[in-house]
Amino acid sequence: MKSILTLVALFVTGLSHAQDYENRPWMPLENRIGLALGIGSFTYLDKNSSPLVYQSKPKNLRLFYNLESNTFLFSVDLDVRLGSNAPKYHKDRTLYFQEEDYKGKKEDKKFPAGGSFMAGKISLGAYYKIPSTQESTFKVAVGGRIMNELFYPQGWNSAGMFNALSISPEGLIQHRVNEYHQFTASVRIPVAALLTRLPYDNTVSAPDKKQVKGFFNNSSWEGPTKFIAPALTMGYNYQINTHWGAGLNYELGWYNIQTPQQMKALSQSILANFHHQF
Amino acid sequence: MKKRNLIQSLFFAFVCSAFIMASCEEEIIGPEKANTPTTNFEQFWKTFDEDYGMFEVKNIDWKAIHDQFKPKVNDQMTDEELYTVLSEMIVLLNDNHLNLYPTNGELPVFPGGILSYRNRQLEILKVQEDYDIEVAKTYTTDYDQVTENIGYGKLPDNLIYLNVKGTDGMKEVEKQMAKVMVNISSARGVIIDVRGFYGGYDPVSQYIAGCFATSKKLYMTTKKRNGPAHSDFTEPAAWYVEPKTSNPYDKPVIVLSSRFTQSAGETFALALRQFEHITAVGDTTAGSFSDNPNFEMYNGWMFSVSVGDYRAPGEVSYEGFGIPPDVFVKTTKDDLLDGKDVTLEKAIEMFPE
Repeated sequence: MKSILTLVALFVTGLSHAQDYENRPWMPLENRIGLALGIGSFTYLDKNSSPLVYQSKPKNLRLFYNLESNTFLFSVDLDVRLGSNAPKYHKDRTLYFQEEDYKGKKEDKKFPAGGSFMAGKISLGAYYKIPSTQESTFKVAVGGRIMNELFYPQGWNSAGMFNALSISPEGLIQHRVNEYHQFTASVRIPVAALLTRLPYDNTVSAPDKKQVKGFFNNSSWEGPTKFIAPALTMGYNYQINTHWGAGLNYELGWYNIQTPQQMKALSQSILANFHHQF
Repeated sequence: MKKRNLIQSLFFAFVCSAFIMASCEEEIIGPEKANTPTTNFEQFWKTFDEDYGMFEVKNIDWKAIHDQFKPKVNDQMTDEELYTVLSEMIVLLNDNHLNLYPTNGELPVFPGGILSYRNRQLEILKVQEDYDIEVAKTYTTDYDQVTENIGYGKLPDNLIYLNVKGTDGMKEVEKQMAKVMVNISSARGVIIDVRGFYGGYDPVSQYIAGCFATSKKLYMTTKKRNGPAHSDFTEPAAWYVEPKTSNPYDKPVIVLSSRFTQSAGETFALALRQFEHITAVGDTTAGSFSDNPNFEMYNGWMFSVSVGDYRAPGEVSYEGFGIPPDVFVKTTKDDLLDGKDVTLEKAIEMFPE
């Protein structure tokens, strides 16, 4: 904890001292493309197939594009998360198979019962900048986000697998401290989602259906009582010069899915980003 | 200076918020139940109670089984003792799709088993002693393994030996089976060997069976558990087998099965059995058709549960019994050790001159 805070302090202080470039007007309207790398965790309990809490600590890669006009803000994010996956309190499980053939050859095989975690997200956000706040250093925008999230844990158990195409209203607040420093926070709550989960029986085989089709065959529109998934993001951006910036982003997502049986999940990620301002 | 302090304060707040939220994980997700032999036994029993698909068709009183075994469970018992109790419970379900996977690395995976009498003792068949693909291949020439699980070769007198031991990806199977069907179209007969087909994905089996179908026929209906009551099931899904080419193979076909032909191998055999030009030779199949996803207990152990109730046309259930062949032939261990596949030889003899 201490070392992280020290690093963060050094980062801020170091960048503040490096501000020797030309004076320029207020931080420009965003027209930036960027890449972010980070770490995170995804912890979940999917009662549809397991009483165990699973946890993955995936690496996170994000490609983003932000565009701002005098009236609107737009964003497109593409996220990929990859990592290993295991029950939180049973990380080192080992399976032991005894095999024998008709020739009498016996073989003992032991191997770890590990798993992997893959998640992908694509989201498009659009926000209206509330005019009365635009003169302040605290600027507020409201809008919405369309997002598709796929969580695909793989292993001996299929707990935690789902896809959700959701529509969420979203509020955004930006605090532009000066021409270099900007803090951002947003909150969104899905109001409708096309949710795909494994069915109660946890299998997808169906006549004439390929596996992917079998999985998506089980999709249904759910309202905010069956798919509860508020998310909070916080970000800090430092504008290094007129074309380059860097920052940190933290994202917290809570999932409480009620169908076919309850799944609760907590998703967190922290990413360092670099962006190019056009 | 003031502004700089503000930035650092905001930054500090940012980082602290993240850490505070991270620490709320257990409150948000909820704690796991205590890991004790009693909670594990109850979780195991309850999962079967809520997900097993064949209590009704097999006429099993699962509550009575709970009451029979519960007195043997206490929180002082060892892993090995718990393993014995759970294994004995699943043997009563006579279901080869039920496996118990201890994860302590010391106790072996317990197969629900194909039950069989040997020397008047009921035991679980663990070793396949009536089939070896390497022995079968010695009867062929130009054997070509076209996918990981499909291979074929020539037999004497213009016959073809086709071995299917699992299911590959659907696209790969469609592509390779199209070529295979062209290459075997002039053969006077085909022997399809599924004695080593232990399972896979049913729609792929459905597709391969369609390569030998001469008309569209219902071969199976499936329903799966969708609620806690033993009678809670999805609406039945109808599985049809139908020709996959414009020139379906309609010459004699013999399918070789064994007690180890199971799951998607067994639904494949069932689909082929619907046609008059196809004859089954060998041994009865395993009697385990349903999908069987894995579930878990608080101690991290896993177990598979058959969640469906699969029926042949006419509502016939072969679960626990298997599909009997038209002609019973069984290769023995000694035959295999002598390099002989008696079942395959019998099948070759059965083709008309």
